[in-house]
Amino acid sequence: MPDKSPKTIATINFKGGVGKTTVTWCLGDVLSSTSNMRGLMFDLDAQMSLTQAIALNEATGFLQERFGKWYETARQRKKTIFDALDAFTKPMPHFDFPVGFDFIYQITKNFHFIPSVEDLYWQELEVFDRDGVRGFIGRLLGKISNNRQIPPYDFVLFDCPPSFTLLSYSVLSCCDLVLIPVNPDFFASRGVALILNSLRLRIEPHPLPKIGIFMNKAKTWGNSPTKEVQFYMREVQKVCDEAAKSQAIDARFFKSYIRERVGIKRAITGGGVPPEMISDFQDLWRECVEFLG
Amino acid sequence: MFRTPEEETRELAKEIRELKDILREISRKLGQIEGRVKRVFPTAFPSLPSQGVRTSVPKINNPPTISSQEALNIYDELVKMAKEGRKDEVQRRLETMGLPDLAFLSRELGVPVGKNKPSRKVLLNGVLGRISESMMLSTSNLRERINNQQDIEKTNPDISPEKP
Ligand SMILES: Nc1ncnc2c1ncn2[C@@H]1O[C@H](COP(=O)(O)OP(=O)(O)O)[C@@H](O)[C@H]1O
Ligand SMILES: [Mg+2]
Repeated sequence: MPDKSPKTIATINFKGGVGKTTVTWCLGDVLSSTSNMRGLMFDLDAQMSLTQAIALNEATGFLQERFGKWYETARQRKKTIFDALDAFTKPMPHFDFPVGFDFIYQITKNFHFIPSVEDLYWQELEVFDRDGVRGFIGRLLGKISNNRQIPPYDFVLFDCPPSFTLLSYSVLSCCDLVLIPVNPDFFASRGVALILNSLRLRIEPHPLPKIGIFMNKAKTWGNSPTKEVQFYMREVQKVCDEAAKSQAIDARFFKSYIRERVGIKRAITGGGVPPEMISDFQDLWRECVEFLG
Repeated sequence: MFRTPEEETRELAKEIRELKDILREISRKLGQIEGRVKRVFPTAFPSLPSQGVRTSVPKINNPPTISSQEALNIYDELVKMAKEGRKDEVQRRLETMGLPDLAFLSRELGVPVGKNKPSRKVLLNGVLGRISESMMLSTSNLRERINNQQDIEKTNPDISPEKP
């Protein structure tokens, strides 16, 4: 049976607070808990908000014991994403970094996680050669899928930092889809225009992945988005169409949107995705798959 | 018990509608009673001068003469005009619009107007605000700015950081 490679999706936006981290986690949680798909998720943000949210126990606010112990061991044994990058950039003929469950944390049976470390802050200073890092994520994924101990994944998600780091460069040059959350306000919409018009410049001469844009934090009235949300959806759609033409990129504004609900704030730390929002993420996923073809 | 917040909101909206119907019915009945009492005791009901004036002004909550789609088409047209630099025309077009239509247009664009009955000026500024947002989001605008920047740097080598 031929190995089916996982769908790799990077959530990016240079604007903070639009919901990159929240949406990435919720998507992974919904897919791995309501279908029989298995997923892997990376936290590539040195600010570590995803890692923190997973590590903290909602009830006590303290570090969760299971994750805490695992994380400490990973650090001691030099099995973090930073150590992997370090091994990759060493002037050695082979990328010597064995991967296993000391590098990948199992949140649940079907939802696995590679956390971030503060050391990523220094990565930009220590690595000067942009193209030396480009192949990193692709090679790391190759190692993971070649390892017989690790089951194959159906999807891989990346929570990217709100800046264009070497790691985001590496992710963007190998992923299938860039997923950009936008919010119904002017500055978030403008952020989308800026990304769409600068991505090509950043990634050239390498081919660009497909780009999907969707509305997050959509206020609703009855069963549909409010007029204000609809206004921004139309405007972002226009931005997207214009950029697709002028930049020759495969960008699409999705019809599905994620509603604004306060319940989602507790999703990662222990509340889980609010039941009434599960369909939002299933719809978003369906559109991603359809777009990827 | 409601299963979802949506369901609860729908139920609330329904109750509000029903209550409004009831109040309207009561108001109609009161009007009939008032009419009968007035005929018997005309002096007890001095006419209020302000009322006549108010009814003659076209009211904001009169029904609009345009549909939702027509409103959006008008908006697209206005954005196009503004992009071509015909700002005065945009202003004039909005000023000559009936108040109910202007209010409807601003509502369709999701302009946040706090008050129950916003003034024409508030509505007009709201719609103009939406138009300028659209212009600032336009990527052709962005590109023009990026290109201009490059042109300035080319024709004006003094300001480029790397001087030979
Ligand atoms: N759909 C939503 N409804 C309500 N709040 C949301 C939604 N998505 C995100 N948020 C909230 O917005 C804030 C920023 O989200 P976060 O995922 O940290 O953004 P980012 O990773 O882009 O910086 C958080 O407080 C989060 O709980
Ligand atoms: Mg984040």
